Amino acid sequence: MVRRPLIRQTLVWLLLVGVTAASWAFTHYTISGIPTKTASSVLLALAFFKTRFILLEFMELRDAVLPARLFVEVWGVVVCAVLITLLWMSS
Amino acid sequence: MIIFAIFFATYLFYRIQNQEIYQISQAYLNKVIGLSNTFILLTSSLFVVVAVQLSRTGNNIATRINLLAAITLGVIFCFLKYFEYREKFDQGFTLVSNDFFMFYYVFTGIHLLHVVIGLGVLIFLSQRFRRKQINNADVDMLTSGGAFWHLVDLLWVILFALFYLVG
Repeated sequence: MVRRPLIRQTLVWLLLVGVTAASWAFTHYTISGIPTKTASSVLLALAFFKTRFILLEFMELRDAVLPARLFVEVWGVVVCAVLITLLWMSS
Repeated sequence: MIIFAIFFATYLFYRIQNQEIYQISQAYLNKVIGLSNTFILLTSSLFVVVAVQLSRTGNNIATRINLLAAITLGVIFCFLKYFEYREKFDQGFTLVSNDFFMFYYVFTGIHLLHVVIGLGVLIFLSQRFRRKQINNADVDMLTSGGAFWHLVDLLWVILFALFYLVG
């Protein structure tokens, strides 16, 4: 009974670790060829992509009541959008 | 979560006013420690997830083992943070060096405080699961305590991107 969610959550952990490693590698090896603002926006979007999985899978909000799930989904999208907008406001 | 969102926006708002200082200062951060701490918190979160699932099956010993693994990783996170702060102090970077380091110490310090509180919660829960008789209230308490630990993990994921990765 417990096996199925554990396999799912272990796969989510692998995804989170993989995206973290990819973000770090992206900063170190490819950022020179990409405009800073674009690279930074991608890195922030990836961070919020990870937080969505932590909220929905680890904190089990996937099965939460609709208002709670809506709050976390909207929080992620709005905060990520505000931060990326601030990045693009720089000269 | 809303308060931390305001923290993140405040940091970027000030960053865009004086980007050069932030970029130069950021280069002095130890990215390997930052990356290691991200892996550590993500893995400790997985152990907490496993502990919550196992607690629902009544397997108290396995629940406790997973909680202890999560606690160990949390302690390692604190040690690495200590070494990172010490390295920065030795290099002459303090809270008053510039705006970047002020934000860095304050935000990561507040986060570290949450890690310590989370560790206290996990230690308390691991003690509760030493008992043979566990009821639904204990499982609910573990689920809530686990959610706090995941929140600490989530905030670090964004702090890591903001301070160590964003250029």
